[in-house]
This record gives sequence, C-alpha cells and structure tokens, in this order.
Amino acid sequence: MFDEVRKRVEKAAAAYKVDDFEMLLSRGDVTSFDIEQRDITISSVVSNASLGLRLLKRGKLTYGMTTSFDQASLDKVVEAALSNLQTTRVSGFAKIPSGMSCEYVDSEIVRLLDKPRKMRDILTEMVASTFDAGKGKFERLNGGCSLNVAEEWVFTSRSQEPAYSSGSAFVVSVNLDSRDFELLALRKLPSSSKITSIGVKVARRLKKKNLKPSDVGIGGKKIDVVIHPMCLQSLIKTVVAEHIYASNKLTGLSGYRPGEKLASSKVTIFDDATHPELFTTSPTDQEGTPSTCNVLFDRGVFKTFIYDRETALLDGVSSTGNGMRRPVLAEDNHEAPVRPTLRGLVMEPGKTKLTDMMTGIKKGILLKYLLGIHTADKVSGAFTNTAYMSYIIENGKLTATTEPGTWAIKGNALEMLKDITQVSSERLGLGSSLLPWVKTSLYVG
Amino acid sequence: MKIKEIRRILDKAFRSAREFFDYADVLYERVDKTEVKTIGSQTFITPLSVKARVQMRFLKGGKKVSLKVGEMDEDVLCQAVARAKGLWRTVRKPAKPVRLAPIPNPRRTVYAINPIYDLAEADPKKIINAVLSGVRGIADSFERKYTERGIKINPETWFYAQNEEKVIADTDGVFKRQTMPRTFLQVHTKLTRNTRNTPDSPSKSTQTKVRIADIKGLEAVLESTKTGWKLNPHARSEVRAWMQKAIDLLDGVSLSAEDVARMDHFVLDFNTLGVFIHEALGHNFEADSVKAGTSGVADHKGKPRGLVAAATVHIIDGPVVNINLEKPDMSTGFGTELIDDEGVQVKPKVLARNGKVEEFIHNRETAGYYNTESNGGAFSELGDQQVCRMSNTYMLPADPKIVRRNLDALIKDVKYGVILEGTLGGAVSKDGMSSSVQVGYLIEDGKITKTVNPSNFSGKSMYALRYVDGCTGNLRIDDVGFCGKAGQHRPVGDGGPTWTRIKTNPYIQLGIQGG
Repeated sequence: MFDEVRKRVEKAAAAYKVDDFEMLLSRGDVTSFDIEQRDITISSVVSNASLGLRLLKRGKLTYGMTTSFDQASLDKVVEAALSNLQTTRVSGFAKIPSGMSCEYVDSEIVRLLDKPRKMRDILTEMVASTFDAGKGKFERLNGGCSLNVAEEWVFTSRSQEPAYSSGSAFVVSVNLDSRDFELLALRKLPSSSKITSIGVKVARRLKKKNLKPSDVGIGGKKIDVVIHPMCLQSLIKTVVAEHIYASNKLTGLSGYRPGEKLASSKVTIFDDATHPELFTTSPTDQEGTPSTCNVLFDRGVFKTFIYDRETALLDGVSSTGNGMRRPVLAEDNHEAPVRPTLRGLVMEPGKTKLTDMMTGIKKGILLKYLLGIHTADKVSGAFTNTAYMSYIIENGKLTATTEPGTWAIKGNALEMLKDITQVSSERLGLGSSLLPWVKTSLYVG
Repeated sequence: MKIKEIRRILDKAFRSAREFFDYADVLYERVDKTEVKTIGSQTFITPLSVKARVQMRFLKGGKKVSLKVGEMDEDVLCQAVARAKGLWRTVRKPAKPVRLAPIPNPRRTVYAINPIYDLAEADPKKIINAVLSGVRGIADSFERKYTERGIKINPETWFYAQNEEKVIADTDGVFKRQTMPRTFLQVHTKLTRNTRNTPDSPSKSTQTKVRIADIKGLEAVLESTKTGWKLNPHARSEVRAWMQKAIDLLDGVSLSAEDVARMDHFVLDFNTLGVFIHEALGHNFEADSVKAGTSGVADHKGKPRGLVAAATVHIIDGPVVNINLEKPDMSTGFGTELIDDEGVQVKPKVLARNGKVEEFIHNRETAGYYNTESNGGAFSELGDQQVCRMSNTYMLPADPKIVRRNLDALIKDVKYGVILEGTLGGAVSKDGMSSSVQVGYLIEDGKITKTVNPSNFSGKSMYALRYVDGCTGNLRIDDVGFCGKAGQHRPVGDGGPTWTRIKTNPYIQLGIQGG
C-alpha cells in the first residue's frame, strides 16, 4: 500500500512544485467484542487507512489530510494545502535513516482477527465465571475486548525508505454495576486463564456498600489517597505533561525548569518510545526523528522538556523524538498538528507492596478515576473532580465503594507529584503507559 | 463521489449481502474541512482535509454484525460482506434477538441544509486570515485598555468550516442523502498579568474559553466585506465578553467548603446548566445505556427510578421547540441534523415532562428492543457504529411561575449564593456527574459583589435538578461541544434559559479552585 500512495504523493508534489513533503500513512484492522450481561456482539474495522501530509514550499509549511488515495483526491488536497502556506522555522523535513523498522505483531492476535471464535469462547467463560464469583454482589456486567493490528509509515521526500512500524494490541475490560472495573492492555495475547480471571478479580473485591464522605467522617479533610495507575496516567498526561511540552516552555506557560526538584525523590519518570510492551513504540516519531527514551524526572529532579523539530529549532536544541500529531480535541490524528507529545509514559516502581501501602491508612481512598479531569486548570495544575469507581480504605482494608457524585476531590497535579510518599512495587500496563500505584494526600470536599 | 456511482456500488454490495443475510444497511459519511489552530506561538493551518468512511451492518436470524470499512469501493464492500458472513457465524444469538425498528418515510431521499456562504466557494486563505486577525485584534484592544495592569493575552484560536455528506441505504430500498455545513470557532484566552512577578504585584494567569458554532455556512462566524471576510457581530461580541471574563478572574477569590455550605442558591448560565443537563441527565436517557443497565434514571427494562427534575421544568433533546413543545426549528443548533445516521428523521424528544421520565433517545436497535419507534437518535463518528446520542439537550420551564423578569429579579432574594458561568466540559458516570465552571460571581443579599475563581460542579444525576426554582431569559442552546461517548466525538449543543436558579441541596457539590 505504502509504495502506491508514496508514488501518487510524489507525483502530486512534483506537479505542484512542492520543495519537500512528509507523509504519515496508517492502516489498521480491529475486531471488537461488546459484552452486555451474557450477550457478546462482534464488530470489525477493516483496512481503515488515513494519510496526513505536511508540505514545504519556498520555506513555508502547510498541512493536508485525506482518507482517499486516488490521484485526483491527492492532487486536490495538495493544491488546496498550498493555498495557505505558513511561516515556519523548519527548513526541511527529516532525512530518515535506513533500516528504521520495528514489528511487534503477535501472530495469534492476527489469526483471531479473522477467526474470532476462540476469543468469543474465552470471553463467554470470563463472563460466566464473573457471575459465579460475584453472586448477589452485582447486577450488571458490561465489558469489551478488542484485537488490533496496525501499520504506520513515516516518510519524507529526503529519505530513501520509510520508517515502518507494525504492532498488535489486545485490550479487555470488565465493569460491574459501574462501581468497579478492571483492564488488561497488552501487545500479545495473554493466556486464556489470565483473561478469564479479570472479571473474577473485580467480582471478588467488589463491596456491597456505597458510601459518602460524611458516612465515614472524612468530608472537608485532607486524606491519604492511593492513586491507581489509570488515574495517575490521566493526571500526568492531562496536566503535568503541559509543563513538559517545549511548546509551553516557549510561550511561558510552563512553570518547569530543568535541574529543579519538582517531584518527590521517589519519582523517576521516563518517556520511553522504545519500550517493547507499549503500543506507542515505533522506530521514529511522526516526523522521522529516531525514537529514544528520555528521562523526565530523575528522583524528583526535572531533567528535560520534550521537543519536536520545530520547537527544538526555536529553543536551539535537538528534537527529543516527540514530534507527534496530537489532536486538540475531536479531530482524527492525521489531521492534528505535529506537536511535542508524550509517547510512552513509564514510571519506575518503588519498593512498597500495594497491600503494604494501604496497610498504614486508617481512613483514605483508592482513587481509580476522576470524572472530567480533562477540565483541570492546565496552567496552575489545580483540579476539583469527582471520584468514580473508587474505594474507601479503612484500617488498611477496602471497605466500600465511593458513592457516585458525592466525593469531590480537590488538589493540584503539580503539587501531587511533590507529595508522593510511597510508590508501589507493582506496575500496570495501560497501553501507552506503564505505571505504579502511588500514595499521596488530597482534599475531599 | 457522484450519487449514481454510490448507488451502483451499493447495489452490488447489497446483491451480495442478500444472498446470505436477511437485511443489511450502509452508512457512508464524508467531510471536507478547512481548519486553523493556534497553539502557543504556533499556527497550524489545514486548508483542506477530506475524510470518508463506511459503516455496514448485517442481520440474520436475530444476530447482528457490523463492519467499518475505509472506502466506498465495490471490491472493498463485497469483501466486507464476505467477512461479515464469517463473523456472523461466530456470534451467538443474544438473549433477545436483534430487531431494527423501521425507518419512517422510507421513500424520501433528499435532506439538505444549505449555507448562505458556502465553504466550497470561498478562498480558505481569506477565511483563515479573517478569523485569526479578528481574534488577535480583539486581544490587542484589551491589552491596550489594560496597559497599566501589564496584561498579555495569548488567544488560542481553533476554527473550522466543513461540508458534510452522508448516505444511508439498505437492502429494503431505502436511499437517503443529507448534506449540510457546520462551522465552529473556539477562542481559548490565556491571560497573564505582570510577567515581571514582583512581591507587591505577583504575576497571575487566568483562562477562559468561548465557542461559537452552528449548522450554518461561514455566516455562523463571519460576515462578508468588500475585500473578503471579518468576524460577524455575534462572534465579536462573544469573544470580547469572554476575554473580559478572563480579566475579571484576575480579581477572582476562592471560597472555602464552609462558605459554599452557607449558600442558599446557585445561579447557572445556560452554558453551565447545559453541560450539567447533558452529563447528569442526557447520557442517562440514551437507550443503549438504559439497556446496558448503566443509566441512573431507569433500570435496564426502561422502568424509571423516579423524578429526575423539578415538576416545573421539561428536559428536551433535539431541535429547539417552543414553550408548548411544538414547532421544532431544524435550522439551528450545533447538534441538529435532519436525519440521524440510520436515516430516521430527527424528532424533539421529551426526555422528562414536568420532571418525570417520558422518553429515551433511541436508535433503530434499541427502539426494536423496547418495541417502540426510533426517534432519530442514532449517530456515529465517521463510519463508526451508530449509537444512541444526544443532539441538543436543554431545559424548558414548564410552569410560568418560575420565570422571572430578568437576572436582577432572579437574584434579588438570594441571601448568599453564586452565579456560575461557562464550562470547560464535563463527564458522567452511572449515578454521578462532574462539570467545570469557568467563572463565578458571588451574590450577597441580592447583589453581585465579587468574582469567584473557576470551580467544579458535581452531583447525583437523579436529584440535582429537582431543586430548580427559577429562571429568566431566552432559551439558548449554543453551549456547543463534542460529546465523546464510546470514543466517538459528536458535535452537540446544550443549554436552557439564559439563567436558571437552583436551591442548594445535598446532591450538588461545588468545589472552588484555590484557597
């Protein structure tokens, strides 16, 4: 597919006298299972492809995007793109080194994409054992599972060959009564017993009681909080990351300075685009800069902003390999602007077992999800959001779930990083992150 | 792609589908878009993006499979039919067989909303320049006005104009096509005071966001001039108003939990009310959520769990209707469409009449499940599956006694309360919700006294709106946004009367930033 599209792009670029072009071509197949009680429905995405283009002409830059790859469509997109060229510091796109290729495709996932009967049977068993394990504790089971295989090519007119990556992904989730959930996100298909057990795990730990802060006497107080990796991911990617992006450093909106201690000594965080377990790993970023592992925080000390090619030029440094198409809100990746973007968020594990972390807590919560965290103040880091699918901890034990809409959690994501007192030895893979549980304290409204 | 060509491709795919399946339908969606974004110091312009996708659905013997494919191409669609057969064999028959409610008015084929100023006939460069220079000009005027306070404004602008086309067709001979424009402007004002940051005058940053959007051509945001375009008066006025609020926030105060606990009323503008209604109630009325048992307002059989709002109000989804719930206006509302993504004409849905659950938002599948008619609530994001979605969700007063003359009259008897304006969005869970508030104004003894910092409003879905006790002003549904249900972004509007008053109650919490 790539060769055909590349030839057509080259033809259009030549016809419109484009000096330099960069293309991002992606294609993917997905088979999804939707679980509602004991019913499992199947849907599929077949060979969906998208092309994002950046063009340079007379030192100016423009964007184009299409899902139609015939010559006429590409000509139209290129012609329109050239109608509005913008000043840029980028004088040319990257020259991609040869041999930039990585493949993380699990043949079992590929096989199941077309013949999903085995996966249906595993999920059927998972559902049955979840109902068995949680008798009387829940009414509604909802979940989903997806098998994905995707390919991506990054190519520039200065390069001999594209950077190519292909990868598979397996994701399964179970949600009981919208009170607790469990998620598994892996590159390779796990054993069927591991898939089957995730629902059982949730069913066994689910508590019958839903309580308000006033029921446990902790309203209006700062309490111990164990933050689940999924919630930690949201806080870092939504708020903290805004202070790590070089684009915000350049506009004065980041409060971070390299060398300053901006997190607890227990915090070491990487942005690792080479990690074999993460879905976001590829040989280059979407500008063709080779991927690396950047240390963001080393024992609490902030080490570096992350750069794409343009912000690197503006700041007189080299790109850190973080030039990715990051949507502002609702657009497709291929029509999003190239910006410095976190790729693989990895935090070093600590030495405390999760169970030990909770043992010392008299009254606190295990915070799994903050509703609407995307509305946090990204400049100051402040947030006030409602806890969702979280647990109350009393004397080191999970005793009840938090009653929806009653646990307003108030804090500051930048300060939260400084106030981490413990980091768990266990970590959870979330597809684009590998994170531990952390202990801190936050206000409950 | 020409209609004749689409019909030819679909005829062939349907012939192939009929050999095995009882029924098949297809949704083809295409969007041509011009877009600009300013982020920090960078400007990203995409003069043209062209996106198209196809969703196919197949039914046989009460079992369903669906596929999303990349192209409206004969071979691709026929391959998809072949793949669907394999998937269908894998699916087990659900407890209740899948049945689709019929498409009313199956013979009508053409639906169109025509722009006054069509994107296709305009020069993208001139449009983009008009938007960027218009916004920058307003920011410059504020910087000049507040020179002494050392104010710097960095407005991040996101503008797009697009022409949308969709075709819905099925093996029963339905073939419907809708064309319409959609135009959107967002200005995210990022304001900094005194970058020198001295002890007696510390630096401070504030932000506000405003959106202007509609199912109109460029006229939603621009007006034509002799040489090109400029922001229209409505867009200029809205951008100015929200830049001024970013300046107001420089003097914003925080309030403690104890202060909030003393309050007797919250007064919500249509934006804050709208997102609250969308999150707290709207999602819970989507029939697929009801069926899944994840709705807070009804059990999985559709049996209401109780009152969802005060008896003095109605909750509606769809196009704007008048006070008698009549005469839907299909010409406005960011979420308005003439037909949904299954070809069903979009109707106003009375979700709650006088506070009581009346109707859910259905697609053909949930309507079939609950043995009712579809009301045009099925939408997808570019070829994704059609799920039950809100379009414009709003509150209407049902009792004239709660309508006050103006805002002054509405706050006159508030001893201690707060006006909450604007939102940055929200989120919903089964029984609870959370939405952000951009700016507040403290009310003391019926008078506005101080600007209050941004806050977050959270509540229990079923109870939060039972305490509405007053409102004033015109109905506005131009709080626009993108609902992200099921990972599919869909343009939506929401709102209500310009101002709505809610008596404080145990089911609503307000957390104010800072302090």
